Amino acid sequence: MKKILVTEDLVLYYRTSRGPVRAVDHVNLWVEDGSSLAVVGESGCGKSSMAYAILRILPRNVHSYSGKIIFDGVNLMDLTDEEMRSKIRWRKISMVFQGAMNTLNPVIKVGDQIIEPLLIHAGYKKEEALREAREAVKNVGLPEYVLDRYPHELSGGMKQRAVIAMALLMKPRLVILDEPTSALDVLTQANIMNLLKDLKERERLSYIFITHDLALASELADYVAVMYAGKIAEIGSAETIYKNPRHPYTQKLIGSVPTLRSEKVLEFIPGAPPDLVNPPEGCRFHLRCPFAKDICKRREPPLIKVDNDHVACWLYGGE
Amino acid sequence: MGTPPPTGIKQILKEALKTKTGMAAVIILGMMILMSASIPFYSPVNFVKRWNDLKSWYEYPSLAAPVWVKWFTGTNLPETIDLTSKHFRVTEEEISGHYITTYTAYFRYTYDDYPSELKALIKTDIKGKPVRLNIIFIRPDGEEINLFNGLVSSGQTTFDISLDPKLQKNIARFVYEKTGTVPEVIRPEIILFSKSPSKYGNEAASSNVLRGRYIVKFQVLSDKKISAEPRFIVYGKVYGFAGTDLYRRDLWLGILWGAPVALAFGTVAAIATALLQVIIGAAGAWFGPKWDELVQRIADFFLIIPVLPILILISVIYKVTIWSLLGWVIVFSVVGVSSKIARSITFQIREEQYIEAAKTYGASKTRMLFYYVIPRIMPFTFALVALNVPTYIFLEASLSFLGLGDPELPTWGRILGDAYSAGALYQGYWWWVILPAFMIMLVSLGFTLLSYAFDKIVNPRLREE
Repeated sequence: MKKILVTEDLVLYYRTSRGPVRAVDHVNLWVEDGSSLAVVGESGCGKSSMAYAILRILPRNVHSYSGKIIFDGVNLMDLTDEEMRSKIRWRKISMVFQGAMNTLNPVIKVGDQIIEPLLIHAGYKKEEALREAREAVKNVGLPEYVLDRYPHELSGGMKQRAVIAMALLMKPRLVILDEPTSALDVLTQANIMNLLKDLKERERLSYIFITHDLALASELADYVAVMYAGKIAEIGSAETIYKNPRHPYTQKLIGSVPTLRSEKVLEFIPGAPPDLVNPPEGCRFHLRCPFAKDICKRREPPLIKVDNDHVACWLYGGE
Repeated sequence: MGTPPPTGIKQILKEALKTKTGMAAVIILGMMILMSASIPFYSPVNFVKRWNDLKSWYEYPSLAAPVWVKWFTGTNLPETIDLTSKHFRVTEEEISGHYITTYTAYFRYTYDDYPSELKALIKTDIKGKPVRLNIIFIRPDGEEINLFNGLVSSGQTTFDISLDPKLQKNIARFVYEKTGTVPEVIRPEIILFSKSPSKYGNEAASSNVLRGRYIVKFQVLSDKKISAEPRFIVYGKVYGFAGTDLYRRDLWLGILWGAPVALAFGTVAAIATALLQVIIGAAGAWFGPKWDELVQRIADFFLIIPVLPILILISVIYKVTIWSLLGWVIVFSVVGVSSKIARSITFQIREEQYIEAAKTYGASKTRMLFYYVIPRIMPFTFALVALNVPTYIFLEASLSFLGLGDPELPTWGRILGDAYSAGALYQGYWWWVILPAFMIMLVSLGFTLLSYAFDKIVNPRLREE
């Protein structure tokens, strides 16, 4: 299948007084057209930074930003900021942010907010844009009247749907979902997940689904990338990652997911994630890894192809 | 979660009306606006010109207290009696080729005090040589005083009975005939209205006022028929709702006119400066630390420099009008306290998720500033605007008081300045000082209450649940 997005050696370091923070450190991943890639990992492992790096929404304190982001055959790194703004963002790649509650401006009506991308990018008149917006909110299962409401008059799930409607407004190819359901209760969460699945089928979308919730990711993901300390630990089809995880970190992560009413003892990983200012030499996981070998302490493992999946671990070959 | 703070202007106003302070503020300010709106019905079109033309106020008494003083003192203070030509009855006689035209009018005087001043006027349209005029004043007790006997020429002639020494001589003669003595100081308005000849003095004993029917006669003697318009004014001691000043101007008209001037100056200055300060302060914080630093340092500078002395200097050097004054005020307040408030709120808003989202869908920085950031700061500036209006009204009043404001427009500050330079406070002309001062205080109170009401709404910690 065609790959719609490929990142090669994507790097995003932040500048701090203690030195650069290696939030995204030589990340290679890809998204196949019409499929969804779940990016999972602990908090602070660089998942969101990676999303921002792909869209080039950078904070002030960037230390370095490099690598290749090939979207539909074009290296986004070669585009100017203006081209990025006018051609890529929202037209080709859009994003649903963490905590939809705060993504909507409280002093602007939901309708006026949703049509912003159309006014900015497509030069629509307000009436035309509102007509489009009516379609868009219907598409995500919201009544039309929400367009005339202020955000505080909507429930969390409704707001989330409105934000998704906004993300889909310009018919993008790829949608980055950054923990889209993290602030919602489980029923609403399920509701939104079903909506996302449904939209994916209908609109032939590709997703990058960023979450720390492995169980939730399994609902939507065709492929899963596991991130650890700014790096990809393992990337492969959902089938193998969930059934037969290869990387020790993935194994531990899967082991820590609670299941309903089973006798399983929940696992945890001893130690804490490494400091990204001063990551350990060699494999970043070796300090917490039960299988750590000598080479793990000295050299970083490359992504090694095992069957159809890739894993960055010395247990699966290399030297 | 409680109710979120209101966002739209309409909503804020609606909420403001619900609070007691808001209601009081709206009543006070509504009154001011009604006062301003009533001006077209009260005063002539060229009022501003007339206010400065002191000659045009001759019909009004000088330094008259407000009418309502009567109700408090219990004495029936005299009001002005103006006998115009239509009050005069005309009789004509012809004696051997000479015409004697007599104009007679009467008035009832029932007040408890003497008038403040007397004036006789005559307007004739005779061609050629002057005519002889005789003005006779007949009291209720039958005493007849010949005020004037002499020649008048064409046009308007004014007899300032209270001040003219020639006329006073005639009155002194009357006193001499009655009492045998000549008073040291002759005050016609007292002598002519006194009851007993023994007390034709200067003591203003109100029990000595002669009440009844007074008659005024103008006799014109000429060799051909002429027409004349006589007029006799008995000036009172009270006038109108607000009294008059030294220059006979009706203070109520001045106070009325001061209302729109003060409201317009205060609100325009406050809104303009608040908007500018907020926009510039927010823009500085929004476009990066260099701009922010620049804006904040300029704001510090403007906060430190004393604006009033500088404005005084400017109005000494240049001729200012109310509009150029407004311009200067705005120039010296383009950045200030509100810029600092806007800056701190902008920093807070900058980190909000919806700004991040807006960046993602490609909103430009300027669009974000004006569409997302500034509307969020606006509610906070409402209270500031309302609080700043009195400041600017005071500023304008201070400059006018010092005689450095607009030289044409009647403003409250200017009325106060006139009162001060006429020594109104030492002379006891309290109405000249208290009423304009009260208006300044009232309008300040109105806006301060309004700002409290706004503050309660936009400041969540003060919200009444």
